[in-house]
Amino acid sequence: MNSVIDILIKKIQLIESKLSLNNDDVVFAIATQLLVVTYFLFVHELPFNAIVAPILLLPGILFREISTNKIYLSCLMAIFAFLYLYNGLEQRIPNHKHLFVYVTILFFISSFYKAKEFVYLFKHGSRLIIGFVFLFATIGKFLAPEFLNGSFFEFTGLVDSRFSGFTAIVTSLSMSELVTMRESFQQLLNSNNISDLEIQLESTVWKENLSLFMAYWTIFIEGMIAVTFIISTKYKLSMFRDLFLIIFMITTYPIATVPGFAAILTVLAFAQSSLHKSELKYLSILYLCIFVLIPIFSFPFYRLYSFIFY
Amino acid sequence: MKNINVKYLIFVVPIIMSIFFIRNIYLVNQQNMDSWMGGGFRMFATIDKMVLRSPVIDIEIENNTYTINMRNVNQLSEINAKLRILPSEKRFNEAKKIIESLSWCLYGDIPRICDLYDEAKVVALREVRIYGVKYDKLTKRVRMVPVRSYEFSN
Repeated sequence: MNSVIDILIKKIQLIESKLSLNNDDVVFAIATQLLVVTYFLFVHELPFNAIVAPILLLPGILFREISTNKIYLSCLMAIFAFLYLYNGLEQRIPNHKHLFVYVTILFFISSFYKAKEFVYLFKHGSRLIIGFVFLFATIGKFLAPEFLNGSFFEFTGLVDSRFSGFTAIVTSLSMSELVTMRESFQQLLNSNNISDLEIQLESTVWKENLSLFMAYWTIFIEGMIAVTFIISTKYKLSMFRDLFLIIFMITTYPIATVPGFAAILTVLAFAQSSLHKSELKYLSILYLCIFVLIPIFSFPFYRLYSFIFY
Repeated sequence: MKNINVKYLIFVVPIIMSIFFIRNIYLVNQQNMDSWMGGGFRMFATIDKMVLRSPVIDIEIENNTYTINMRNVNQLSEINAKLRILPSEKRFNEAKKIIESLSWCLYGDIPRICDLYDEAKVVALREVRIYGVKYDKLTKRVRMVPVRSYEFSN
């Protein structure tokens, strides 16, 4: 057992030295590159996107000198602040795209500083952004009565295709029943005499109880992330922040897959991860691995499960 | 910028985030905005969201009123999305201009955008209603209820 741990530690040290994760300038450069990669993967709103996005973003992905450049970051900030913050209600702009801009603003401000101030700014700034995202998400849950009584997860589990695989695995409802309910619901949404119609969903007592558990679990884990990321690092509780975040990622991403949010959250988590005093940058490496593995969360786990068990 | 203490600078982004969060609360309560939108980070909390909203219009053609779900008219997809995100008075008026500027024809009793060369009818938009999902936890029934409606006087 000890030899396995030794080998693992040596491997981590090797990756750490290859990536120079002990150098904060390098950590910042990697974080900015990951941010640009995230833009590249999830931006669809630029005019002539297929042409403009590669011209704008590929230089930042390929060259660290460009991704950390003040002028380059200011261009990204101006373009995407206009698209996502100023024009954010003109089309469907999900919250994680706001987050792209917030991270760009933080990295832009950080690029003006050197040494200790620079490190303090981009690491603690990233920590606070994560904290505030989850603080608002938790408050949002308390403002929604249908979340607190479990209706949200019950309804979403039955009609949202992203949750279908999970619902089919953990309840007695079959995938074909869920597809039928989803199709009836879609017909309701498209109907001209919309106010005269209603549809009946089929649920189970287990599904109801599970939905209630999921609601309170979400409030707990998101609330804990908010608290541990916002409080000062001098408090012992803050030491558990990455643990809560990783539990959130593992329990949430495979069920409610939002790859854009997962990617930008991982960029922020990576940026703040070296705040821990540990000599080994294992958390930084873990977040880098999660970033690379994000496409796996979109894997149709239900099909694999059906293939194995049916 | 270098003269500013970094201890204060780390709060710049959280302050911007808080402004958008407060704006989200205000617009949701005052103008029925979709709570998932607008950078409030209130996603995965409410059942009512823009992708599950349906805008329905009453249009008048030759003194008859017809009800149409805007989801079924491709030419209205942009204003349809805007109304579902934020059904404001400004957007209702914008919808009126767009809808009345399109060429509508009657095919049987069903109004839709004219095929090429067909003669367009004069159309007046009378009312827009935005419907959102209502889920009854006890009966497990789902129906659509008006979130906001807007009537045009002429």
